[in-house]
Amino acid sequence: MLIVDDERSVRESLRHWFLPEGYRVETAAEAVEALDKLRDSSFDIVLLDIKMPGMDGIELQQRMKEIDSQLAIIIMTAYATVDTAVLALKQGAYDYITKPVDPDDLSRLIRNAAVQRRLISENLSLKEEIRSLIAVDQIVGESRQMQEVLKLIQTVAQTDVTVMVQGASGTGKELVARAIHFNSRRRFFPLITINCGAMAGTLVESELFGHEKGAFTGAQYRRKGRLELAHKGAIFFDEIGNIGTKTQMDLLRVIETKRFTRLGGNQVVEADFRIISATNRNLEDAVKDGTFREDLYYRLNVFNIQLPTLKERASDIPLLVNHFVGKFATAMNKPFMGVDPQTMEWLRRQPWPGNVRELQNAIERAVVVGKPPLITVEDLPYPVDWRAPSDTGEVLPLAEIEKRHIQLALNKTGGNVSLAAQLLEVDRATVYNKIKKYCLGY
Amino acid sequence: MLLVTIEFTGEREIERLRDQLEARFLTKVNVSRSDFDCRDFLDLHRNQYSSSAIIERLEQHLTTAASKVLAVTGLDLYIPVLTFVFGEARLNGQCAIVSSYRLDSKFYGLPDNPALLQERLLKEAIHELGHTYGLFHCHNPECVMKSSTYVEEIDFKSSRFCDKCWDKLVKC
Repeated sequence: MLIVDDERSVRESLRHWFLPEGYRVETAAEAVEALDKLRDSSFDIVLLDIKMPGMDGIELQQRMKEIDSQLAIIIMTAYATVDTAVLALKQGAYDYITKPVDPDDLSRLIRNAAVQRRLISENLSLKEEIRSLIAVDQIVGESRQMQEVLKLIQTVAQTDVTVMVQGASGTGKELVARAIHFNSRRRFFPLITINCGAMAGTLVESELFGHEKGAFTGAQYRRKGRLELAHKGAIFFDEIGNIGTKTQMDLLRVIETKRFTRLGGNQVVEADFRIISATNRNLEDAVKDGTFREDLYYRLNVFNIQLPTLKERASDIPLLVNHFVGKFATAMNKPFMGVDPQTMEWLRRQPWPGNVRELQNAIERAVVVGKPPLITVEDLPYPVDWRAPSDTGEVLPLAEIEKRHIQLALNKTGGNVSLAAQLLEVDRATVYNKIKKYCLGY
Repeated sequence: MLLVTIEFTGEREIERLRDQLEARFLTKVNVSRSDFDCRDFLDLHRNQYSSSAIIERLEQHLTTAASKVLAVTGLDLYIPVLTFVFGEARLNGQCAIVSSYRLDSKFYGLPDNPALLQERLLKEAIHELGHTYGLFHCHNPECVMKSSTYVEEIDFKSSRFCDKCWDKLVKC
């Protein structure tokens, strides 16, 4: 803390008052001395007399802010006038006090100023962390297709345009959505993800719009919906192609107005959010066969980003493999240098129907079971052509059979999850969960 | 330790305080009366006395072998920026001062309560002396080193040091 006052008795008594509070206290009798001290050392709080010979407190405050813009400056004045108080606050003073001040008020003011200063520096460091959290260059890929995708992300991130990311399962749709959000001006506000495939029909409305206390059995408290939580940030609808017709209608209305009411409530809630959606389905086909509303489709598909499958960008496989080896080796503290050349070639040749996610899972497993420094083909989950049906009478793990069986159902229904769920006699959410778990292609 | 009375009329209170401080700090406590002209410390505009100026005078003019000097006064004390103070001390220094002026129930329009005044005086005396031994304000609400800006806060805390402050005091 720096106390600036031309009266020695004020400086000294304040210094002695604050020392027992545990503050580091320095004093300055004039503006030049105060500025010198500020340049030489760092302070959190400045108590500044408004009337001093030479440079007055208001002018000195401006100079101090030029040196440290985050400084909490408290102006002290013997005769408070509204004009000087307003001027001080306009120039960025934290507060002002009229001498003499109640000891309790001064203690509270200083405590609050210290807390604010701490929060500001914490906030700045967290923002810095967020900036480094998702950089576009964390999306790995040097292929022409991925370079184009990266350019699109950078272009669209600067705007507020609604984005639809399309690509097969495991191609990194969510990563792209996150990259768009965390490179946009909304990055310091939340990105709320809604997995439309996993949300049960009856709960969708409550999840999206929230509910008032007593709106339905079990609604014991008022709860904010996801749309409300995304205020000032963005909302990411994953697997948007899987929402029901009723929710499609609700969403259309909300996208147009950005206004809605919580379930069981009358109060209109306004929320400002950007919409990013993703789907692995061909929504144009869904529009044609009437399962997806055309008007909603055009609302969501303002800016389209198509993600290539891993097969389409096989030249990126070595880069991705090395990226995942590095990532998992660091996480598991194992000194892996990479994969041996034959294994890399084998990895390049695989079809990877589960795309990057499948490749990532394979490398993760290899890092767990493999012996450093190089990953070999034996460390990978599928050292033989695992996609061929097993007719050798070999007893397979139950999970492997489940995986193949679900894949079979998806193949039979041409990738239609609802039909596959009917064939398997389970609900759609279960099929989606299994697709995600086993990285199945459909 | 030396207790110096400045414009303080309570003979019995000061004797009691001396005994209490002797028991608490396990040291001999002497009492003397100052001959300061208190008009030197008076701010006519505020009608209050500068605690900082009194402490400075104590430091400059008092010739005593006592390691700690506590002035006890009946005057209303202030420091320039604050409306009032109950007392002031030199952190890690020799001198401190406490005032009974705002510790007295009568100041708040309440009936005279000598026992309560004695208790408040003891707490503030120990608090300011604690600063002279290098103790900072403590966050423990019951510790005597908790900062108090109202008498209610003084009444809430005890006259004892918390374990942490006691440990620091013993190390001094």
